[in-house]
Amino acid sequence: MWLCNSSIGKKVIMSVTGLALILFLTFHGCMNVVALFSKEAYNTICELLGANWYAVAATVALGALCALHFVYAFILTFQNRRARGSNRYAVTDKPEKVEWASQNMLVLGIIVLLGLLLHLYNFWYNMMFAELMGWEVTPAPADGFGYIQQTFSCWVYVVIYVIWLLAIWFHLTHGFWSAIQTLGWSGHIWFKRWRIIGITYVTIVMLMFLAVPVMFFTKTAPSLCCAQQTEQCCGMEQHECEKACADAACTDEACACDPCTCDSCDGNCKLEGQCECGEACPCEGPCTCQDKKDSEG
Amino acid sequence: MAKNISFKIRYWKQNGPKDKGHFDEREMKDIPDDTSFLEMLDILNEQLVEEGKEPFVFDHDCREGICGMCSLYVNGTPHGKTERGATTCQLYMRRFKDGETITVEPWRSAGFPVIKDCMVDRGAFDKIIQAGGYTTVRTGAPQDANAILIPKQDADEAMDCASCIGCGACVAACKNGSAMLFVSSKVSQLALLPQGRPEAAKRAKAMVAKMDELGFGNCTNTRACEAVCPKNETIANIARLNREFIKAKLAD
Amino acid sequence: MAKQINSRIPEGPVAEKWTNYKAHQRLVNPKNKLKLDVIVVGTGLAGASAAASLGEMGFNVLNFCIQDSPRRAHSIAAQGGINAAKNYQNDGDSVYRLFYDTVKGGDYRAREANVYRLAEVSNNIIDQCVAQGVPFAREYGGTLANRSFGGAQVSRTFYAKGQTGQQLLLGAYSALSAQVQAGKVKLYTRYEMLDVVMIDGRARGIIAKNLVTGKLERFSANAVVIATGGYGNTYFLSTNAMGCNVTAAMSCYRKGAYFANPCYVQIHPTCIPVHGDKQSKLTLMSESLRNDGRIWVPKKIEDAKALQAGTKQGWEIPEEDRDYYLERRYPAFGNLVPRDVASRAAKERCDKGFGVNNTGLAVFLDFSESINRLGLDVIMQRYGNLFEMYEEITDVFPGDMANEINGVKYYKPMMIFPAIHYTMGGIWVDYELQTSIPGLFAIGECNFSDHGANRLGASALMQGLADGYFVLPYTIQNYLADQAIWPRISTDHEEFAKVEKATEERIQKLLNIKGKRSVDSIHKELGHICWEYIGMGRTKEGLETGIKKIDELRKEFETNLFIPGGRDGLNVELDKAIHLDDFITMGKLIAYDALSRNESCGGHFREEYQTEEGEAKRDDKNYFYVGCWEYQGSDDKAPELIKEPLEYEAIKVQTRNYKN
Repeated sequence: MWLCNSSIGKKVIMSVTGLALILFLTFHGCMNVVALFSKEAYNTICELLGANWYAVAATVALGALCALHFVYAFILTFQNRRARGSNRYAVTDKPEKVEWASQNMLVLGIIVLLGLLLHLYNFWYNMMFAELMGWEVTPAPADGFGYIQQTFSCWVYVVIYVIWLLAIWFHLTHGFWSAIQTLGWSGHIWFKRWRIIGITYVTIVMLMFLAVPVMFFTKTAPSLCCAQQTEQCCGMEQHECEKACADAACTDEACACDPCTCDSCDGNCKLEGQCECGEACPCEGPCTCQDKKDSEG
Repeated sequence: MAKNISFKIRYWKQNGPKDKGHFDEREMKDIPDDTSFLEMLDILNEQLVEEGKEPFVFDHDCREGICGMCSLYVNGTPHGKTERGATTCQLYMRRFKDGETITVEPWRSAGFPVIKDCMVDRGAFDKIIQAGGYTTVRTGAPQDANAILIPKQDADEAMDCASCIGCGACVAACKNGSAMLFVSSKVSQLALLPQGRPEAAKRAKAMVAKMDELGFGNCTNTRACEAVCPKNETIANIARLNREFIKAKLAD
Repeated sequence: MAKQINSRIPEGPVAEKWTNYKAHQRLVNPKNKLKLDVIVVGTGLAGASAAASLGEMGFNVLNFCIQDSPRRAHSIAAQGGINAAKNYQNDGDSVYRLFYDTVKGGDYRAREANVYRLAEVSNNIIDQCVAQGVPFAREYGGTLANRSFGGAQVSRTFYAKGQTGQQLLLGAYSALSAQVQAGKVKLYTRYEMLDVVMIDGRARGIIAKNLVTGKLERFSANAVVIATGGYGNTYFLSTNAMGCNVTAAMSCYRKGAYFANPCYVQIHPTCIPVHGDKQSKLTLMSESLRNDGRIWVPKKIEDAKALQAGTKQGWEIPEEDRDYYLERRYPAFGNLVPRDVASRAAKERCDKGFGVNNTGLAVFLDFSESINRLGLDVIMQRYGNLFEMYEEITDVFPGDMANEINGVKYYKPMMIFPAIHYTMGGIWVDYELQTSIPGLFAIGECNFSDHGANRLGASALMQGLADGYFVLPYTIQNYLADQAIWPRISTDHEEFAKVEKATEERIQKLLNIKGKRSVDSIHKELGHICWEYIGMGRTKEGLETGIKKIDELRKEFETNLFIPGGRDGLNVELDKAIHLDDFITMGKLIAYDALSRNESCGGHFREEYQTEEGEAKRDDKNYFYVGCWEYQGSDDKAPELIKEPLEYEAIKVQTRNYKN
């Protein structure tokens, strides 16, 4: 089979799997962006891609793609090292034309692989895998949003993820046009075009990825903004709360939070933290602006 | 007007493919900078012979940049660094600085075993061409040359591909020891011309198979080859070879 | 009684000889071809094409080259192009005209029948090469393009950028490779032929040195073809590759093959001038540059003096003070006169003190006029790679505008000077390309046959390929036809042992000199002697001095040579010493021939024999012959001259005239 025996065949496998993985990253990145804006929407996607047969099948296929890509990378590199011979040059002068990434694809690939293992542990293991296994986990398997919040509240993870994403970016700046080149869809003119298209495209995708850890860690994600702001609102006068929400560009609707229930006072709050009956509010969740308005109305 | 420069030269000595090899060093004094690099090595050898030592062995022949025989890795670059790309024989001493150390190594690649010092065996390239780098045509009376019309653009592009001199700098520069630029240049030349089309699929498959069999590495598109090619062959040829090969295999 | 030479020219009018020959020659039947082995030494245009064609026909071919690959042969360096009488340009070309131009260009010293055949097959060569995928330059309509070249008034030169030789050689190399793949040709690279083995008066094999292991090896065959190029490197500095040598040809000569016309050495007018004593070779700038470049020196001697002193630059000399001496002397052909004429004219100017560089041995080749007329872009398209090459070597870019005088722009001119380039002389062959030794053939530059006393530009490629593709594969069959009945000769035959022993002794002798001087230092000295006394302008006294000096040098060589390293393994110095041994003999042979030819013609210019205007003066009454030299058993003995009279039927012998 030429795909396994010939050098070009093996590289075609690398290219096709690589391009498929770029496509996957594109989808993944788009989904990630959803988490920046809406917890509900994001968790809906998580639920959709939970332990359903089609999601599991796709995951298996994806895993196979990755495995192929990795295995062939190692086979090719092994052959290449052997072809290079045992004698190394005493002096080497890298031509300017040669991109750094192109000569370090395997190293970058290994960084990507390690990052991937961590990433799977952080998310997939608790989500799809746990669900398949029927394990009880907190947050719930479908609460992807919760896992994002949990993971990226810790700066160590954020740093690791940023490095990881950078490695992927480097890997792809070369990988994208290189894949096209290997498939033969290139030439004098298209080579230049593919490189620009590749770098632009990959940069956009990677920025989508980068946004999640960074914005969750700095708590600047719009989807977080409201939850956070309403939490603060609970101790504020109404106008203060509204101002804070407005500053954070929250919509009124988004500022809604769960109603406070006070068993002891028939469920009526007088003020935040205080039941109408004047007793201290026993509810653990914060009272909301909406709630307050209702009670005042 | 030429000025003189002095420098230290480190040159690779290796007695046969199994020998470990080492660098010898020598101070070169007052070499006119309009001397070519190989003429400088001639001077070195003249000095060595005068001292009763064996000369430094390297391949060279036409000394005008076309035969592809010269093959020295000078200061970390195949053929040495020039602006437009040139073979070692076209490298002149004015490219070097006074007091510099110049390191001369052979092509290092498993595909090119060292014969002696910086002379390597590039017979593998011949074998690749033998596998299919031709059009099968009998000597005799083919049709009139003008019976095949070839657009100027195609002819010019084929000519660019055909300029390859088979020196092996591409393999020497490649971290994978890949011969793709060499192979693709020949495949491209013939693929671009109508005369080469009938055998295009067969040729691409046979030449790639031979290249793999001889132990050359896999192309990872680092572009080191085209950066050092003295005849400015480009990786557009490699893309074309890939295309031809994949097409041929898919048609099987 | 002088020996008679039979050149075996077929009967009939010149235009029908080749057709007649082919119709009546003996052929070898396909089955017998499988029983016949042919050794081809050399893989240049002639050698590779012959090996490929013979292999394709069914013969078993053993092909040798000294380089690491057949593709490195020096044919690869030919820049300009290849002639053919296609008349694609509709400018009145024909086989006869190409034939006529070649004979005239060769100063009426070529064999008519051979030249006609060459012109006849020239068209097949183009067809063949195009079919092989040689990317010749084309017009926008897709047809082949042509350019004009020295010595012709039609555009008949086909070209592939400035790399025609490379493309044609790669074409032949690919044909050869196909036969190697088919198992019909066995290739021996880094092998050097050192001697020819003769059994019963026929060439039956060779002794070759494996250059990597150093061992001598024996090869037996039914015929031996040598295609080992010319002897230009006798002069040390030439446009030949460093490895070009005359060893194989000399070994044939020593075995009794005649060496013909050795004095016809072509000096190419457009080379980069010599710059220093460390120089190893001269670089040719394609003759095609003369299409758009104009050659000049200053009119005023004081300008020349200033140029030589470096106080003035070429571009500072205005149009009216320039002497375009070729256009002045030869209005009809101008800068496109044949090479020998252009070279001598340059020498004449430099001898008069008008040289333009510090050594006084250079003239200008100027593109200002054509750049002003056509624009730099057009000129760069035509000669860009040559300009870049020139810049790489000299640090001057000929496309740089340097001055403006009275609104006329002046660009930096190139400096050029003649240099040894090609040798028209070579092993004598008959019409069948067979030497005076039965079974030994010589093709390409290695033989003497087609160029007479001077070769026109773009004809060397034509001859090499004509011999290899279209002539030898036929004519060799006439010899081989009755050879298949004999069993193959084993290399254990005593003759092989004898010749191998003699070769080994010769090598040992060189190794045992153990003197002080390196091969190159002696070779350089030989070069100086040859250039000085048997170079562009020869005199009787000079030649006699030359012979004496070469004799002295031989003594020096035999007593004071030093070869480092041992007998075994790769020993570059030893190989060079063997070459030098033969170059010294060759140098003397050139001098003998030059001395015996008391006339000036083509590449042979005897200063005693010139017209008042300094043109070559031929003596058709006394020297209308091919000078064949026969070895007399020792390098020290003067060879014997045998004359092959020339007979012209088709062409009336005239004085060459490029003036009008």
